[in-house]
Amino acid sequence: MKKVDLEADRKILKYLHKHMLVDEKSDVDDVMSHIAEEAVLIPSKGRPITGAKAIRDAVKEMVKTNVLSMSGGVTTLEIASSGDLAYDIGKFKIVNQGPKGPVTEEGHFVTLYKKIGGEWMFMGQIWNSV
Amino acid sequence: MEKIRETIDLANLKFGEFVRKGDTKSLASLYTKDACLLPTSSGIVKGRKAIEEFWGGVIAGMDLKEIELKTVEVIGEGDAATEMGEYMLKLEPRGQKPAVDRGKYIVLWKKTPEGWKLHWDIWNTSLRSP
Repeated sequence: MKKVDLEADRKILKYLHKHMLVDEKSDVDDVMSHIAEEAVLIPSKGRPITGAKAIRDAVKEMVKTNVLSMSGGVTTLEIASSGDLAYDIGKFKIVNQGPKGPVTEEGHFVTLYKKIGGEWMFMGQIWNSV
Repeated sequence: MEKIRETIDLANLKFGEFVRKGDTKSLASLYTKDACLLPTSSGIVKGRKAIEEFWGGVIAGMDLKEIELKTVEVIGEGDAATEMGEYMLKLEPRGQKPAVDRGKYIVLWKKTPEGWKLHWDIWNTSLRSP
């Protein structure tokens, strides 16, 4: 029986979620160090992004985005009884500076995490627009 | 893992069958009692009753005729698993041309006393807005 410190895991996962909100101050290598090799990003209106190189390229693009504001956050976080899988759901609202002015996107997300080698890693995220 | 995959495959076939029959009560019974849908263009839909109404609205209001769910990957074990997949749905709104939507989804499955059920369900389209 694995001993699981749920409270400690919840704190780490909440921190990880915030840390993975990429903006122009984010360090691409640091962000990538928290992403599992088999991770997948499923953006709204786009194809799934898989593989370390494709995800790195996507993160590089996100870092270039001029984020004017970001709000929302996790509403529910659950850790599986196995202790090595976790999931969160929540809402987001992000305003980016577009070529013709501010562009707002608002929606839901689900994030997946997996404990690999004793460390929580970002396994994937899907989001859509409301 | 194979057992979970088989269970999910079967549930996805049932999902399609219930949509074709317009059987929203059975459709809602595939979800946990406190399940959440995170649909595109809508707030969070929580609980079986609300989920039954949501799918009833889509089937009747948007004339959803068919849905196909294709699992791409399943991770997890014990009492929780995550499925990533692709969907295809056919809409035949009255007075309009039939339409097909294709996209991606992530479902968090939970093992309950009633068996494996969809607990969180989020999707987004792969089609660009016209």
